[in-house]
Amino acid sequence: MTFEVRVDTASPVPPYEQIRAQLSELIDQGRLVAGDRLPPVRQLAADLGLAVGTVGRAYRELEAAGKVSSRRGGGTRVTAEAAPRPPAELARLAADYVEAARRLGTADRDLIAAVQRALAPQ
Amino acid sequence: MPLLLIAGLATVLLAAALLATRRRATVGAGVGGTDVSAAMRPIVRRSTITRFAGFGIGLAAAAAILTAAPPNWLGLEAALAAPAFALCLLAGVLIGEITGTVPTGPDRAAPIEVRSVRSYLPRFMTGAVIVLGAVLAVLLTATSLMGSADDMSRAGRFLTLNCQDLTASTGPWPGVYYSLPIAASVLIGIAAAAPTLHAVTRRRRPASGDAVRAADDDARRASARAIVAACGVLVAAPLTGTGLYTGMAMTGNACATAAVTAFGWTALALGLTAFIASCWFAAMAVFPYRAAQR
Repeated sequence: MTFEVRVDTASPVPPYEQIRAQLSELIDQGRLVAGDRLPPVRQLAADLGLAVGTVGRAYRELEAAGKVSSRRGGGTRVTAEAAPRPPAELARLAADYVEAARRLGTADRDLIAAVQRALAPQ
Repeated sequence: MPLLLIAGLATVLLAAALLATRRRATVGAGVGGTDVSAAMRPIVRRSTITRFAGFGIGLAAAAAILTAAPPNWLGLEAALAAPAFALCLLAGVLIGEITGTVPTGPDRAAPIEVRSVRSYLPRFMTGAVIVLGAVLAVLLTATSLMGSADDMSRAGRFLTLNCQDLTASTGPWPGVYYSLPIAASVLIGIAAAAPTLHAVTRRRRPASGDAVRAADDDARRASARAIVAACGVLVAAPLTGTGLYTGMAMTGNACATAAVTAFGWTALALGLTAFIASCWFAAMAVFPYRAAQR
């Protein structure tokens, strides 16, 4: 499965920020995992018809955030520290469950045990 | 007359190579629907037109060098015609890859993938070019070291051997008079091939989707095959001349020892092999799709 980066040059959001946000989201969602290589800056810039500096800035921002690392000759890769974060929807469901369980007076230990029982094979 | 003979033999071998490589990879066929064809058609058409233009201009340039060279080139024009042809062919492929690929419109998409030159190179053909290039380098080094000046003091134009009281000279010999221009032209051609290969990988995808990507990869492989084949012509054509003239000078020298004669016959066989390889490379350079999926 190959993912795509989309850029709307008519958008008020700068192209570099659009690229950074999409790559960051793919890393957070675990679609790009540690060790995955990003396209070379020149290749992505040519594909999108953007300046090399625009894509380079997006990569630098990701590097500053610790999500990717660039090495001469080795390209730009997703770092091991950039562990995928659970999707926002999953976090919301978990928060709802915890809130509902606590309203019933359930102890933290019991609500964790309930999740483990639910995860156990039927 | 010898040139006509070589041209005729080359034509026959070219036709034989084309018949031998019947399998044609039609871009888009079998991997997608009409969208794939629509997306790929401009790219395939452009690259085919520019490649054929490069081939035609290359033939014209080679013919011009062969016919318009001044007499004091002493056969050097035959050695430089092939590099001129290969450079024109490379230019044709390069122009096909870099023109008309700038995305337009506000909405643009690019796949997150790493396209490397290595993934598009034809393995066997690349290996053959490297081997022939190494053989050419060794042979030119050897002939350069063995060559001696001719009667007009032009360095490296003759092979001079001594035996007892006799001194025998045969030529033309591919010494420094020929080897340096040949080596320079081959190096220039290889240097031109590198950015052309990079242009093949840098060209943007015509559209998104797995089917288009597969067809586009086929088109890139065909372009890479044409480039490597042009490099093959660049290397094999001078090796043909070098091998044949080395062999003729060695076997025809009155002072040739058994070892020299054996080396001469080996060089002749090498020249003949390189000639067949030149024809094969020329066929692959012009019709790279015919050799697809080998």
